[in-house]
Amino acid sequence: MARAADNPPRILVVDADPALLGLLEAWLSAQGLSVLAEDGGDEPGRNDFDLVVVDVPLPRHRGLIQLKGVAERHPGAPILALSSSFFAGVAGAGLVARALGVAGALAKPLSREALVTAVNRLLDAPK
Amino acid sequence: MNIQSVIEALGSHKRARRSLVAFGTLFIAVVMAIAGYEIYRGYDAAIENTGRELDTQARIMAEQTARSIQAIDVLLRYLAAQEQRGAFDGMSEKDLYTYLKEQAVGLAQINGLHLADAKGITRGAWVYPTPGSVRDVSDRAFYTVPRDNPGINLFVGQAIQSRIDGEWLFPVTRRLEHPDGSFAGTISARARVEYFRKFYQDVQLEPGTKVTLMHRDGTLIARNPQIEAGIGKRYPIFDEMLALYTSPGHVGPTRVTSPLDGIERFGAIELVPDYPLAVVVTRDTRTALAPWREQSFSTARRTLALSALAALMLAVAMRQLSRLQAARESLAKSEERFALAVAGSNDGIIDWDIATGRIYSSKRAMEIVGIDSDVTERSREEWVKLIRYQDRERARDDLVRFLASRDTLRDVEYQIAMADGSLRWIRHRHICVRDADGKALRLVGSVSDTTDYRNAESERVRLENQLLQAKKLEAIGTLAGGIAHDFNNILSAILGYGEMAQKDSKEGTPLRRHIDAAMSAGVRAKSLVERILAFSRSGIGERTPVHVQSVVAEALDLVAASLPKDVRLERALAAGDAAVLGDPTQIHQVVMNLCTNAVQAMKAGGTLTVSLDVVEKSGGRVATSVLAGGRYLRLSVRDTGPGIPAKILERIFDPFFTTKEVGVGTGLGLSLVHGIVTDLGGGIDVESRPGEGAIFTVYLPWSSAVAAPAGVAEVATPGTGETILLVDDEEPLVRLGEEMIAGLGYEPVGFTSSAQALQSFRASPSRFHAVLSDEAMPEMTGSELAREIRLIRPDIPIVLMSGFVSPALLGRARELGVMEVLAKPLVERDIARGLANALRNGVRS
Repeated sequence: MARAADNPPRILVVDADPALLGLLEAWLSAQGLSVLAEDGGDEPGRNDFDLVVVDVPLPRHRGLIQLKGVAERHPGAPILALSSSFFAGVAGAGLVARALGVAGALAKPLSREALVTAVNRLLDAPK
Repeated sequence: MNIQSVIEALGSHKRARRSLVAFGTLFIAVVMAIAGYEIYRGYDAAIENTGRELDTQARIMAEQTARSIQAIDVLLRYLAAQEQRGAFDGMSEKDLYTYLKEQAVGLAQINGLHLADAKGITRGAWVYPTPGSVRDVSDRAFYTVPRDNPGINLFVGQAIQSRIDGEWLFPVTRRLEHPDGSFAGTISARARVEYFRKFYQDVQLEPGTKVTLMHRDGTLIARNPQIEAGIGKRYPIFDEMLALYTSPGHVGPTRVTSPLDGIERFGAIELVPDYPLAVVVTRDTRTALAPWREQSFSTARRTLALSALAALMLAVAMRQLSRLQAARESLAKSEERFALAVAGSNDGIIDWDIATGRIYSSKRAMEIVGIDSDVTERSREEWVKLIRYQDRERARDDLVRFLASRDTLRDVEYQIAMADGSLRWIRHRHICVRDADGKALRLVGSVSDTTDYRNAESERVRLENQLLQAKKLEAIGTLAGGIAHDFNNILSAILGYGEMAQKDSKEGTPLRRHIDAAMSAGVRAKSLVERILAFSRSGIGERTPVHVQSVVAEALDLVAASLPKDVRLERALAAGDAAVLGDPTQIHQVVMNLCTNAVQAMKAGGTLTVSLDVVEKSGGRVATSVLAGGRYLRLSVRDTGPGIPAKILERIFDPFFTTKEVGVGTGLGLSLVHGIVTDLGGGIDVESRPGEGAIFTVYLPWSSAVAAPAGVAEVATPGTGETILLVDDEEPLVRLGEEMIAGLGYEPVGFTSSAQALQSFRASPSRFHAVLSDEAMPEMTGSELAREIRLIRPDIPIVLMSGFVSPALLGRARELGVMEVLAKPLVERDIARGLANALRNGVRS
């Protein structure tokens, strides 16, 4: 069910390769969400995003630093971490998410449903 | 020679040395004693001889002296008889001189005759060389003594020096008597001292021999050699000698010191028969003993020479003995050193005389090979018999080859069978003694037991291999992890866009079919990458306390559902509430993989035995790793298949190593298990013997941090009257499910037909909050039903249940947005958890 077109929630996608970014834009736009991309730049971004989706290539090694940087640039916005290194069982706000200090974590490759479910959960969560 | 006998030999050596010294010293002492005795005896003999000689000489001298005196006496008797007859009466002094002189012719011992009257007045005299003028002799002893002693026939007086010519003389006088016996005067002869001396001299006695004529009153008359000063003097020593001579038991010469010259002499005294004279013969002791001394010196010299020779020989002998001893000591030391070295090496010794075929072996050698150590000599056959029969021929060939060669050193190792049936590794190191032609004569060397070394060596090689293996796995893991990661990124795009394309294409068209096939392949790829991620240990999963027993039970249910007919499953799960920290999916995978392998190993059927329990492990090595001591959950999966050959066992955990036909297995199964278990901090042991099947034992660290297994104890949020659509084709299960769901606080609506259930859902889609459906149903499968329901209400949480949760089903379910696939048979807490999760996380509108 799509959200209302006026004042749609704004979602920032960080560090995603073009293929993933395209995919996320397609899926989330279909949900009536506004999607913007940020390519890991250091410049302080806008602070009015409702959700930040980050692709974390190496959560074991540099993941924490990368996520910390994102959190600092976008204070207040919940973060959804995506990684190819997560097992498929990693879902939602589980232990992995907690360990990384983010609101949610999803394993790649991810299905549209899984993404939409997670995004909706985070957008609806009390801020 | 052992050490004890070496020490004893040294001891006997010391004794030999001592006895040699004693013998040598005794010999020298005896030689010296004999010499001493000889000298002593020689001394006695010399003295005795001297005594005898001196006695004889004295007797002869006395005899001769007596003759000389006797001659004087005869003349004096004649003259006395003439006087008595009156022949001299009327003869002038001059006539008497001539007469007397004539009478004395031939008597060299006298040089004068004197006739005195009763008054002591000279009647006539012949005095050599000139007629004397002494008239009155009445004061002279030669007149007074005969006058006063009518008993004395012949008077011999002391030596006096002539007043006339100064010659030393001694008077020999006869008393003249008248026929009536009255004193009528004296007739005297002047006996010449010189005559006697000369006489003694002419006898030519041995040098150093002196003859003394003495008066029995102790005065000296004559002596040869002459000492004029002593003549006529009295020497008390003569009295002593006389006393000795006359004493009974007188033997041997008298040792005297001459009062004349102070020289010590041996002396013998002999009385001149019928006359008051005595002859003393003396000999210088020095002279007398000279031969003895010479003899003694020679004896002493000889003895000393002999002793010196003996001492020299002794010294040489001692030196030789010392050398010998030193050599022996050094030999003993060397032997001791050798014995200790051999004892220290713990090796045995073997000496094979090839010609005789006899083999000497030390006690230790026989101990090593485990044979009776009392028999030190054995035949070659006996030794050969010890060798393990499989090795015998090889050992023999090797030995023959060696003997035929010109090599000297040999080092071989083979196994021998001990009496108890065990096998020991024995190492022989020999040196071969060969003659000039290279023919082997002896083979001497050591025997040692290298079993422990061999074991340690093989253990070392094994550990090295294990380390190598671990490194290899790590390297492959890193590589595979990287690939998996990148591949997942690619798959994200493939599956993501594929999904959109799938959605956009019309169902039933060829395009849709192609996309479906591509998607299906993509999902399979995803599952493969997931497994690579697991074995590479580079993935990140959820670490929660996992109630292992329930996970294993679930997995076994799946296994049981797909077991071939001839394979039986036995389970013995006794881990209780024990938990490990990990990912339940992964533990599930471990069980599934091990069981799948076990089942596939039993192509001819058999029994699969799975047991789970909690053990305390003291730590140590297992096939894949080294475990720390502590509490572990032990999962054993045992099959009764043909077993795993040792060569394959070594590589069994290698990634991509498979014994299955191409296309059947990925070769990731056991390496996946390995990766997961290692990641969880556990280890795997594998035990297999050909024909006896295999046992895989997985040790997972017991998580003591969480006392109550969270996966089990986690109390699912109870329902708040939500309506649940329950579908299962089996009536009893529907009833059971309804009861359970109702008990959990939900409102169950049960159907035994999926078609009816769909119909009911279509009728009032908003009535239901969640769907719980069995997968395997005759009319419409659970997933088909889910797809239909999704079309009506995409947001409703759907949970599937299945007796066989296959990856394909899981993939299909995920595709359909199914929250969870529960494995049957269901227990209440699975339903509770499944529903609670579904309602919490379910797709929303």
